[in-house]
Amino acid sequence: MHLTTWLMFTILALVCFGVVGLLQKLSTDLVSAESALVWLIVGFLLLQPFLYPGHSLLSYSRRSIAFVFAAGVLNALGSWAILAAMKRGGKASVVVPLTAVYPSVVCLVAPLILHEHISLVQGIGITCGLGAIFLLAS
Amino acid sequence: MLELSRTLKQRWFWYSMLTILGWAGWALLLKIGSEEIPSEPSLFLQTSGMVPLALILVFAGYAGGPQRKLGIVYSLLNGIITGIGILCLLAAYRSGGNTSVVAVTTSLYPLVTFALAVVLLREKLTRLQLVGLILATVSIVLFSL
Repeated sequence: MHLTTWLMFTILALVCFGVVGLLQKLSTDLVSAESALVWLIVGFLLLQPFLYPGHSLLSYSRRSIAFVFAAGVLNALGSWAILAAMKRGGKASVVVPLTAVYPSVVCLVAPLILHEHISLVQGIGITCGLGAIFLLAS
Repeated sequence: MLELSRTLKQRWFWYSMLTILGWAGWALLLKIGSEEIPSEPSLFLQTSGMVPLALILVFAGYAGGPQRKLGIVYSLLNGIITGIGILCLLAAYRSGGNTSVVAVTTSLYPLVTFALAVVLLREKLTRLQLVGLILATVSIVLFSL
């Protein structure tokens, strides 16, 4: 079977993101959520040289830089919270799908902040997402 | 209903809700900020944005406590593998992958975690939770279309 390059990368990404959920549970069985987050960020930082744009980041507007930087702060907060959820007894098989429905909240808030409209498909997605939260918590 | 009210008293559930809020905020801010900044510089900046919380936890002494080497290895791998996953995702887009197919396929990662957790951690879900897992998957797929 011949795998095209993009499909190979797609499957690799899928496996990586899936394995991470397991590692989150395994790590918080052994260290605190806070410690797990600090080492997770150290792991991220090891990849920074591959991401460095090679030219001054200051060529972008301060506003955009501030928004993306703040996005990183919230990503860290969310990552800490998922680790804390697992540390306090949440199952990986429940917490990972539960938290993966965060786009439902994005879609609910986007019309207020970004003045976007909710499409029918997104509306169904929000309904399924909220239903999933209810059922996974059962 | 009894199970639900019991879960609502569990701290893991509320931490999960905090994750949803944090990541929803992350996605919104990223949407605004990334209109001008391409993916890789954006990832560089996002990772830099994660550092302050790590520094606060270290200097405030919250990241102390017993440190099991294996736990540190798992946590490091957690960060490295997430980063590799993101790089693979970008590479998939760059090597001609259809945006919707790549997005939908990679968004199915909770199913991979679920399978691994069932096989390796012997976790079990109730029937209602299994239906919830399916609904979550449908929701995630719809959002990535």
